[in-house]
Amino acid sequence: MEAKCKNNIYIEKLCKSYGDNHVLNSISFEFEAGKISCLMGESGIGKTTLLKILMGLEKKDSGFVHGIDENTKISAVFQEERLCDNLTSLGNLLMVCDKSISKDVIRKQLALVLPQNALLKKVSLLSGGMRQRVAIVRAMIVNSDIVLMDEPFKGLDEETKKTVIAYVKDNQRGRTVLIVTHNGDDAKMLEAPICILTKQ
Amino acid sequence: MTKTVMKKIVVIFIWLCIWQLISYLTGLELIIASPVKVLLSFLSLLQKQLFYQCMINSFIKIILGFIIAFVTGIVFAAAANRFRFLKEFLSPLIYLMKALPVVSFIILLLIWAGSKNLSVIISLIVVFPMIYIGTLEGFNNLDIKLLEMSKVFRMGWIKKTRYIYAPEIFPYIISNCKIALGMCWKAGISAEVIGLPSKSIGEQMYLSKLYLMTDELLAWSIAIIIVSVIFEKLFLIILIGIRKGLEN
Repeated sequence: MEAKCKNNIYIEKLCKSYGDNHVLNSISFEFEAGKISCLMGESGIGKTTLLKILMGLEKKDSGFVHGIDENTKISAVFQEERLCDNLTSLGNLLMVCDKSISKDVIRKQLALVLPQNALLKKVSLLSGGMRQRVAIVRAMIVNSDIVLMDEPFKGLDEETKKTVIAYVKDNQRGRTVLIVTHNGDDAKMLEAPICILTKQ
Repeated sequence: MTKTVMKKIVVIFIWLCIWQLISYLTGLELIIASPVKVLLSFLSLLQKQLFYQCMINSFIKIILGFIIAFVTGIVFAAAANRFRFLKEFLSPLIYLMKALPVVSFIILLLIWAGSKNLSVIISLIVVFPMIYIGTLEGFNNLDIKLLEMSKVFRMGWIKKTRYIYAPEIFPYIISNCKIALGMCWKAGISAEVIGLPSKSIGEQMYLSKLYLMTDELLAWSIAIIIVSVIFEKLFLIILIGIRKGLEN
């Protein structure tokens, strides 16, 4: 499939500090356009901070991010699910989808990774794993150019993880997908190159 | 009939008995009218055209003040949440509205604006800070993580208002509304008793006091309680309906 996002994401000498805590110290990476890539690294190394900078939720201190600008549409799975508890899984997806995506399409997508009876339940009544899957479908279903995922398979059992990974691969639609994970096996299943973030 | 309702009826009955007993023992019907006399007086009021004119006049003015305060309170809170300067600018005014006795406002407004629309302004002054503070509190307690999610997914302001702001802020508005709805009647009627606008509940209560007709005074009070409770229930039903409508 042709890459939806034509340019690679190129991160160049990116720095970010919180006071004296230098989280990202002149890091450089390149993620291939239209492909799934995995980002790994020990806890606290700055993976989530990097994703937040790419999402536009944090400002970088210095450095460059090429391939993402204000017109780039991003969808994401956050470290927490960030769902509206008072809505159903369907409602949570309708909330972010534009009119081109019908309720039927959303139902079908949800049904690929969730049991049928979970679709119309308020997400507050779903298990952590189910909520996580709703968040994954939310990121994949919208018409975005780049999908950023922060530990999306955390808390899923092996069988469910296989299903969800297959779902992510099937619904990549030529987008650049960057997945933060602690598990090298996830990257293998995704057949994705691994970038490792290390302390500089 | 449920146990809770039965309990409430028994409690009210006991209090009515205590009231009747005090009235009987003191023998001061003129000052402490018995519940029976108050009920008769209330029924007699219901047959007078003046009663309905006064009720409608006072209701319209007090509720108009409430609704203006409700709408402006929410709008100003939303603006103050967005513009820090406005929040700072309004804070002394809000503090003044909260701290200054209602009677001070009533007297000042009587001097400045007369008595005709006094209850509208007093109701507004009492309700505005409650709605403003409640709404602002709702904004302060918004889930930042959901707001970040909405930013990443580029949700429009209508969707943001419907799915993120409204569910978080509505509970604060509703809880403050419950207090404000009672307060607007108390303050509005007080303003009328002092300002004595023509054909108002306050004027009738003042006249009842003047002629020591405590039965009629209490009958008017009962009428106020009934109207305010009905309006409170209706308004809250509408608000909760809007909230549920937004959620579905």
